[in-house]
Amino acid sequence: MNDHDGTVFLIDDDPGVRDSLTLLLSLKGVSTQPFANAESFIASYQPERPGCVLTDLRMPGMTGLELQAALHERQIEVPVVVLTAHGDVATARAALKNGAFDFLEKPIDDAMLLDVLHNALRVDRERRAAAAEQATTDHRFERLTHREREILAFIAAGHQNRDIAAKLGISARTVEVHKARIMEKLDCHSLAELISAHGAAH
Amino acid sequence: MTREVIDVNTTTESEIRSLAGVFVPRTWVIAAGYLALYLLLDWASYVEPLPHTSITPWNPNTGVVVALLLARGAGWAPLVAVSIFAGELLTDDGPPPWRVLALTSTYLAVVYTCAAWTLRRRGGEQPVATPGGAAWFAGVIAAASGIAAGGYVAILVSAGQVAAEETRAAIARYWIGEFSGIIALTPMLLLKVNPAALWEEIPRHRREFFMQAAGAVVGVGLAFALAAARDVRLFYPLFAPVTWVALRHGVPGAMISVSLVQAALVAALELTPGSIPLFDVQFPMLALGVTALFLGALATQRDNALRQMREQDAVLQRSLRFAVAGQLASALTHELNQPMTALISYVRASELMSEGQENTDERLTGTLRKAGEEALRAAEVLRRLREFYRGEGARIAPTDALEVCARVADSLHDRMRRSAVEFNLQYPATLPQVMVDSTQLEIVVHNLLTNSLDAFDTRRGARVPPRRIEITTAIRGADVLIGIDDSGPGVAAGVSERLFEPFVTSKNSGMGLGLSLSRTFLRHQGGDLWSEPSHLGGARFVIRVPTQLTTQTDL
Repeated sequence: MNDHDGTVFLIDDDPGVRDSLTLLLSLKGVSTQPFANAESFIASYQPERPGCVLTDLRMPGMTGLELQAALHERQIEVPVVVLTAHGDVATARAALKNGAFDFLEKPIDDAMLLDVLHNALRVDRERRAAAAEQATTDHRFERLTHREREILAFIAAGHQNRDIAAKLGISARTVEVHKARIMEKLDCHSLAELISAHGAAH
Repeated sequence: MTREVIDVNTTTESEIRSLAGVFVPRTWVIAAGYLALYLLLDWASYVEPLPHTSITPWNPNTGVVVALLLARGAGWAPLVAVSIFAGELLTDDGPPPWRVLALTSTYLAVVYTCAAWTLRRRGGEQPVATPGGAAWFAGVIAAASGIAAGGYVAILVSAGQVAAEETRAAIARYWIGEFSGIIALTPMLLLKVNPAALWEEIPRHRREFFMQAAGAVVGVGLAFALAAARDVRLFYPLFAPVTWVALRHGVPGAMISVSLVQAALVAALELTPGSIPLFDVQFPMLALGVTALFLGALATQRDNALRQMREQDAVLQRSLRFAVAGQLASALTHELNQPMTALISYVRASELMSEGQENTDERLTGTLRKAGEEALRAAEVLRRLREFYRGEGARIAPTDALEVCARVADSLHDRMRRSAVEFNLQYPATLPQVMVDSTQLEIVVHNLLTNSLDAFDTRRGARVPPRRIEITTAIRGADVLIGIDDSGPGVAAGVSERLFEPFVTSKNSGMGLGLSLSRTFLRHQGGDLWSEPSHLGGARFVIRVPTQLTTQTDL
């Protein structure tokens, strides 16, 4: 794994925990960026940077739970792994309810920590990839004309060329031409591909 | 003094065997023992009888009869009849004809069997442990001995053994003799007093014991010495030592002292015949017996209540200590977990770094691995310590929240009265049972009430509002809310936010763990505790407890 795969944003108020975990994770090949508090993480967060959050719960200032709420409010969908001391079990439960990716108890076994972080980073990557693909599809659909979209909707609904021609008051031949244009613009090579692309876009 | 209520059934077969040396059925041993004791007491108390009768002023032998029937049941009535018959035949100077004797013996046995049956129906095995029990016992015995006396004398009169004009005097004399004999002896026989423990008790209270004995001797002496010298009968001094013993030692002490005093009186009567008219001795003896019985029952009840309270208090204290230890363990593990986390991570990092190096001591990697394992082991100990304290203590069961509140309020009743606090407990028509550990709920309520009382004490002066504490209970959904309001100074604004944190307190004394613990207790059981401003002007704390088992569990 390398920096390209994503960064672990480590938030903990305890300098010893921060320093030791950063060292351990970097030795395991996980790029880690430590923050002493949740506020500084939010201030420096860049949405285009892939990664996941590994945060303590009990911290002076913004707590782990408040951080989750703040991320949610800003529609930042980064996976959050909660790291808790024993006393925070009830809070950890709340964190999970708030959509935390996972929670771990301190002190932690490094193998388990790495396992969870790898999963979180993978989820983040997959989410980003899906978002990117969605963006491409959306972009392609924007290139269709109004008539082409109308015809695509009929095709997706399972209508034959002749029906579509009759409904729109145009010739079947024209429908054929439109259909070829649509397939070209959406980069589809078969009717099945076309229909699934339409489904993904809507 | 160690004392237990006798239960003859608990005497084991082997005990009986060792008593008798060879195997003898236990009923035979009991029957023989009963007969021996009955005849001995009948013979010893045969003083100043009416001619041709066993009408004597004191009949402790009847006390043995009632004790046997109470302990063993109506099946023993025939033996009782036989023993009465034998007693009259053997001890009377001039016994009546045997037909009359058979009739009176049967009659007396039937009457006392009925009396014992009546007493047994109402938990008669421990007849006098409470004043109520003592009253029931005394009432039944008064009636039974009255019926026995009436019938007995009637039979003798019709048989020509007693002159008709003596009927009333004979009945009265017999009645009082039977009554005071039973009152003194039966409770004593039914209470198994451990003689060894009694013997150890004496040196511990040697001075007191000596003074009580001296008081009794002086009392008996006064009664007779003065009676011989002048026409004065002073039985009242006898009440002092007997009262003293009854209040100190409960029913057993009372009954032993009454029996001894009665024996002394009868002995004195025997030594100085005719010095005091019989009725003058009989009535004080009866009064003494009844008084001692009631006082003894009161003292026994008080002792039992005190012991129960102390035991309950010990449970509370234990639970509280456990909770404090749990709180400390929790704080400790939390604080230690941070450095432990760092330590483990550093050791793992060192291990990784050593692996990549060449020319390093090959033992280094192994050593670092072991160091990491040890650190994890230490962390595991911390975890277990905390879980031990967290899991322990709560025994959740259906609990009557009102009863808990009332019990706590009762225990603080004296303090409330001293502080002139007006207390009020309000409740709806029906309140479902709540699912909590009742001891922990009691600790919480106790804690909140004493907090309110402590708060009153901080505010002194002429213009303080009336002191009021109010507990209200209400149903909210699947929960019960218990609100505790007071008219005290309320919660200081600066403290209210941090009220439930450990070691935060507004009191001069106290660790500041009460509210924190209380909240921890309740939350572990699916409940909660919070504070609000009160309509009484002071603080209001609300306890929320579930009525059903919640799914709340500790992860």
